[in-house]
Amino acid sequence: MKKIFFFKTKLQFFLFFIFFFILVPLFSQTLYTWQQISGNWSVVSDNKESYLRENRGRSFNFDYSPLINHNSLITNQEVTFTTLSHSFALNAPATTTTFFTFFNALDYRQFYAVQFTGNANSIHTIAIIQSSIKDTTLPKQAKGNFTITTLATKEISLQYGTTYTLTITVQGKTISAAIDNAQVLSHTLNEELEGGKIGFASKNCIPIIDNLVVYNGKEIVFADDFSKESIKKIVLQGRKLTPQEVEEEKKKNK
Amino acid sequence: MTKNVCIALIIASMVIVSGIGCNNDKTELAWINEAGEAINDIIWANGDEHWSKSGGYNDGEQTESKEVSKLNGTVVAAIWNGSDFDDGTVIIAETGSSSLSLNEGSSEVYTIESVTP
Repeated sequence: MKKIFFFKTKLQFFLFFIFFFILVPLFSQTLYTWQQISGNWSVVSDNKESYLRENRGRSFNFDYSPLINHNSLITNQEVTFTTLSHSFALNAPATTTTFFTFFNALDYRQFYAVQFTGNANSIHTIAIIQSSIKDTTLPKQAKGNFTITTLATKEISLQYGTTYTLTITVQGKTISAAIDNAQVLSHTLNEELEGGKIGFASKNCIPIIDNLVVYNGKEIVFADDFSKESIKKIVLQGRKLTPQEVEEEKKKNK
Repeated sequence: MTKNVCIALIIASMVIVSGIGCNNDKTELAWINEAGEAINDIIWANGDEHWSKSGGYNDGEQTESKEVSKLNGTVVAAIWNGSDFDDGTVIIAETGSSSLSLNEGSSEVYTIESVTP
């Protein structure tokens, strides 16, 4: 029988090929739970506990989507849910701040969210918002092609540095938001939600998030206690050109 | 006495004017995209300068050289992921981080060589 490298049979070689070039890349792609859209998100562990934190604070208006304009991350998995809850705490910002938990995200411009807004003193407003595409005929690369609609809003008074539990409930067409198990806001849509990705977004603050649990009825369909890092991030590798390389580039461009 | 004061003032004025002239050196920064895919936006030092092009800077393309006022900062870029834009951190080989220090009055060019999703 003819050997292929160190494989005794063609079948062994074939199985090895399938495993390393098809299954390994396939599984390695599904290892990440989260995709970082913008900012610098990480799982932080100290001796007592671990949690999710955004470390940059400052966000940039690239303006392709509301999510890239904030510091945000999104699940790789789509979920349909009835209850979503997690704990969160925000640090005090220098000026105004925004933090929201989004759900039913079809992409970075179409989603619903429960949003908190604060000034330098406290978190003063909770709102249910909807982001949608302004002009569907424009290409996805178009800047500013999205609209944020406030569906419901209420004044609240939450303190920075204090941990709260946010619970979002979807019952039929109605979205409700509760803080520490006390309902504060609800809104009824025209249509039932069909599910989508979920995630977090912040601007001008450092949010700390923990104990995310998502139920569909009594079944847990997604959960993360942020005990291990599972965030896919885009990294670009750059380097400084030498004066000689700069000259060569100039000649190339002439 | 008055004459001496006038001369002193003239000399002081000349020193100040020449000092201002010395600080007029422009610090310029440009980027070359060699990452193999389009890069749409590059932001320097929390928005001190912003390179942006509709459709993105293609592979091999150099951005325009722009004057920057901040000499120290970090670099982030917007990358098309196939369906939406993500922001990516640019890690500079010389510093091993996204932080970068420019020499005052220099005209520096950096290349972005790869994107690791």
